[in-house]
Amino acid sequence: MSTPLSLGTTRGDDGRVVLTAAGEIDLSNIGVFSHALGTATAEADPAQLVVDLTAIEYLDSAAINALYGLASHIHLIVNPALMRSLRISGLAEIISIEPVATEAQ
Amino acid sequence: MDDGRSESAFTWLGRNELMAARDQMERLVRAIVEIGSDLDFDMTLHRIVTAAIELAGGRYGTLGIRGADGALTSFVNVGLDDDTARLFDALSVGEGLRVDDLSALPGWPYADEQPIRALLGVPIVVRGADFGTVFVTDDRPGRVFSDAQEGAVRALATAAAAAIDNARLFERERESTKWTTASREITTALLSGDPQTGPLQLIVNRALELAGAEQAILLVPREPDLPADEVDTLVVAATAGRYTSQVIGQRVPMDGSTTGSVARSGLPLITDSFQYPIEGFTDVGERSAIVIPLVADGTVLGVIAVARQPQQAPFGTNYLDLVSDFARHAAIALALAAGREHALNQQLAQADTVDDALHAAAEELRRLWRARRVMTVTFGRSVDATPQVFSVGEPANWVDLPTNTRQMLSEMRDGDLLTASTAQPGTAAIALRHPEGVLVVWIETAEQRPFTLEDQTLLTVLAGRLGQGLQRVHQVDQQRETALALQHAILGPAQLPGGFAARYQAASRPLEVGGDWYDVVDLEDGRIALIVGDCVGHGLVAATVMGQVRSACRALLFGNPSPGAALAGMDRFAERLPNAFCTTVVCAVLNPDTGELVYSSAGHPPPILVHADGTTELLEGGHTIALGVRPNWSRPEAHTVIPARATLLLYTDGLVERRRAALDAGISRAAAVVQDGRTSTLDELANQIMSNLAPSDGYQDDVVILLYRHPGPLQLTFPADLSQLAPTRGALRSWLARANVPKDVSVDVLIAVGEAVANAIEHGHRNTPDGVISMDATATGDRLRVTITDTGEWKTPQPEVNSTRGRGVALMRGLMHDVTIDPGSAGTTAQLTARIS
Repeated sequence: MSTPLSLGTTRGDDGRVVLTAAGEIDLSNIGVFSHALGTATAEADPAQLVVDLTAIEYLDSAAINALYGLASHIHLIVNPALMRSLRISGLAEIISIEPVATEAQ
Repeated sequence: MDDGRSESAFTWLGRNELMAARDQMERLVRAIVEIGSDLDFDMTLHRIVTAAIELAGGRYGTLGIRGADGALTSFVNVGLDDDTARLFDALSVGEGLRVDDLSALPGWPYADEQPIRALLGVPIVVRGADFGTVFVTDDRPGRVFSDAQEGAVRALATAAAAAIDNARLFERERESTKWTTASREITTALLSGDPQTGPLQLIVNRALELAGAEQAILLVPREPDLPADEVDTLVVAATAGRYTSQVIGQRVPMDGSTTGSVARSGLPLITDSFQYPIEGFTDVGERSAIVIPLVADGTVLGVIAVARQPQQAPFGTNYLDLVSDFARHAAIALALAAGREHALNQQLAQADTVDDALHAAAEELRRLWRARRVMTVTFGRSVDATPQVFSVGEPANWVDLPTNTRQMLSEMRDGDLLTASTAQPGTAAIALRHPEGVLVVWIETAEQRPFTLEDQTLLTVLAGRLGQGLQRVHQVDQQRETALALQHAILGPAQLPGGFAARYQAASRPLEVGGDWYDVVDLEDGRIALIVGDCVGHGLVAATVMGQVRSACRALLFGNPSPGAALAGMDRFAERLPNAFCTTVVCAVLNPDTGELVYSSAGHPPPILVHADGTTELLEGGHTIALGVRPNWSRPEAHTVIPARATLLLYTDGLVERRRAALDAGISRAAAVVQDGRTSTLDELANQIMSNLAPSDGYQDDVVILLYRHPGPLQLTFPADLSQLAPTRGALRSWLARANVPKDVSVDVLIAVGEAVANAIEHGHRNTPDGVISMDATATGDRLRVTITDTGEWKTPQPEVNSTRGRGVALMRGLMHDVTIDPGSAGTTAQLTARIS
């Protein structure tokens, strides 16, 4: 059983591709996330890719590693609770990360 | 013998006479060997007379023994009677006397009465003193003694003197041994405390028997325990032999009485006249008596007077030494037996263990004899085991002892118990029974002073006491161990659920178990009951009652999980069960998910609740009287909620009760220790409570504590598989919520623990897919600890080699306050600590 994770890709009017993920990302489902990330990268102009992880409650270093691969190209939106680990991992220093609180928080 | 006779004995000898002389010489040698062959005094004297008759070829003989006045007073006769023998006292024997016809002797007044004709008298001189004369006589007409016969008897007399001396020495030695043995017997008998015969009676009986006397009396001061100079009257307290009923209870003043002056001077004497009359003793005829003081440590314990029959020989002065020794022994034994508490007894009474007793005794013996060293050597039942040596003064151990000392000690082990040995100068040793074998006590005195008979008696007495003391301590020790084992077996569950810690400590002096107990019971509805109680009393009885009360409480709670109802049920139980009366108990039922607590207390001190922030409260609600005091007493309940990371302490009064201090002060002290330790683990806190609150001389009563911290730990065990990541994370998340961990800390902990678990799965069990991982999370007042243990090898990843996992470990370290990874041989343990607040 893999950790539940739902993914969706939308293309905005401005041409930006938005990859939205909800649930949790860990070593058990990192493959699914990586695949979706790769597809989205292929579809979009790298500079136009937005990864929206606002509905992700948990991610571990596997997810951070996946994001590192695309680092300079994307704009990341995350739950503020995750900012600490993104900072510690150094990811926050090389990509633009936007903390956005969800309604629940 | 004059020169003329001896000359003729050699010059006139013909051949036959030469032959006869040779035979005579052989007979003489044989006779001398014979008389020297017996050490019995009377037998020796008899042999001398017989040999003299044979050598002289006479018919009759006697050996007259001189008394103190120089007259022949006693006789050993062969063929004569005492009356005839007594006549010879009138003869002037001088250096020797030979008469051919006694009846023709000028001035011999008994010519008509006695048919004796030839007579030979030769003196026997023992150690320069005239012992007596051996006479040989003949009544046959014409029969005379020759020079050769006289010479032979003279030679015999010289040999006889040596034989008599030996026999007399032996006799004295035997007598002395008899008294010494008697002294030892007295000591042993007095100390064994035979209730049949009082100690005074025992002494007087033995004195009578040993002195071969007809009466012995023992006088004691009318008022006991006074110094010798303050005693004014003695009273006859024990008697043996004749005139018992007349003499018992007679009073004698110290002043102007023979017994009184002996008591004062401490010196024995022999007399036949007493200054002060004692009815039934001094008025029954003129008798030789010996009067002996019983004095120990300057205190007059009594006086013994022993009298012989009027016709018996008076006591010789050599008796004084013997009897004095006996009296000294008896006095020491009497003093000890009379319960004049010796320091050793006090030391032994205070000892908790056999070793303690041994050490105390060694110190005491060393002090007593100002010994350079006292060793106690314990030989176990196993012959092969190295004896255990304990030494005071100078250190010692078995292997370093000289071979001859080791040999000597081993021989003591195999020899008679309670028999002092002073074979090596400057030392004394004695063997006694040890609960686990034989103990040899070895004393080395500071100066080479002789170990006197008195010292030996004292050592024997003390060794006897020590043996009894060790046995008693050993028994108490064993009972205590049994009770302690019983206590531990029944006082609480063998394994506590997570989140609890308990301690039990028996009272330290006397180290004894009591009736305290604790219990943690999983109830059917998922709740947990916590019970701490205290049955009255100590020892096995209290422990047994406690076991029954505890079982009753469990059973009642299973039937109805209400603390009030359980205590009401126990009230009824306590009414029926002897010794359960007045048991105090606090019973609480906890919802481990919510921290809700219902509790009721029967006369028990209030539980202490310390919140994570240090706020302290006493759970004083739901409190009423102890169990079994009033029937149908209403048992109230109180409710509270234990907040997250708060610590609850249940305890018995032994923890907080101090002499001369209010109970509240003790409770406050206990609360302060919990408050200080609220950030410690529960086990650490339990140890802190027990040690910080212990009085300097140990707990005076037994103590139970039971600790709970909410929530209990999260304990998970799961297969090393990636599919386990989400569910374990879920379980940890909800536990963190119960522990009221702030959201941001919670996320950090989840990620760090996730990394650790992923590491364990991915690397620890790459080659062992059946691996198991366990996780244990606990909360203290201000921090969280999560331990992840796997059964594999968790190679610490190198970031440059494997950047993926290296980043995970870095993340873990970054998020947590502290991370330790211990790659043990059986598996890897990662411990993560996070601060809360």
